[in-house]
Amino acid sequence: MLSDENGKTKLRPGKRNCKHIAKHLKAFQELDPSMTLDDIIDLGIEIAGDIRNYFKTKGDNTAFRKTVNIGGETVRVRAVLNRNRRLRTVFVEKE
Amino acid sequence: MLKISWKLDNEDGPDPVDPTGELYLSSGVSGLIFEEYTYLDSWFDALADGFLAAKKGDPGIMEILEEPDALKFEPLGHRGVRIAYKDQKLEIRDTDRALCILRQSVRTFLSEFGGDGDILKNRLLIRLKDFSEKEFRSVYNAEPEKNSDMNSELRVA
Repeated sequence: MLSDENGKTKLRPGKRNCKHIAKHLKAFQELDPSMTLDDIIDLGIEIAGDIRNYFKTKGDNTAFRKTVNIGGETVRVRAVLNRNRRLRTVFVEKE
Repeated sequence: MLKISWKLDNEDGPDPVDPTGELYLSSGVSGLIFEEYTYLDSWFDALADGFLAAKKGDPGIMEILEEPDALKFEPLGHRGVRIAYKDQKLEIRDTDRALCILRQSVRTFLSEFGGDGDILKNRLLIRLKDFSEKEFRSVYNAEPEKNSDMNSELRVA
């Protein structure tokens, strides 16, 4: 896990990434209606900040995934970082 | 015939690292596939892999790393292919022709960026450049021309 706030700040998504991530917010809100865009970005940063969650690399983009509990349901969440280690996406994986 | 339309999010200029935008696929046979606020580099990469597999007669499930749903390719009869994404479906009669159209669309997409310097910032774009030029050289035995339609908002190939 990243141990300092500066490390996590580096993973924060840019404006384009946020527009994309917002598309996936609805799936999180179906599990927990109180979740916000900031919440899922924080979740994505937490997942991508832990090398133990590494899943795969495609091009320059690195995917991480972790099984988490959201609103009482166990789901697998994927987070992807771009080559600049900014959060490119975060979403609930389908079964 | 396959029709590929896309619109790059150019609000702050083209971004070769995160080329986001929207994409439409349609055909004269039936169907439409559409996705918005997506990563066009990953989409073109998945489409290239899918059509290349279909050309060999192989079915394929092509993951788009940033989307929960995959693109599914199912060969149909003689040279055709059915593509499914979420609840959307599209049928193409001629996979070879569709590959040519895809390659043209990829060339137009890549021309949005600031030349090879920008393309080198994204390994998917490098792979797409290779994909788009291979067939062009084999079919036309020439280098691809620069895109002349730089002003239209929605690119159509």
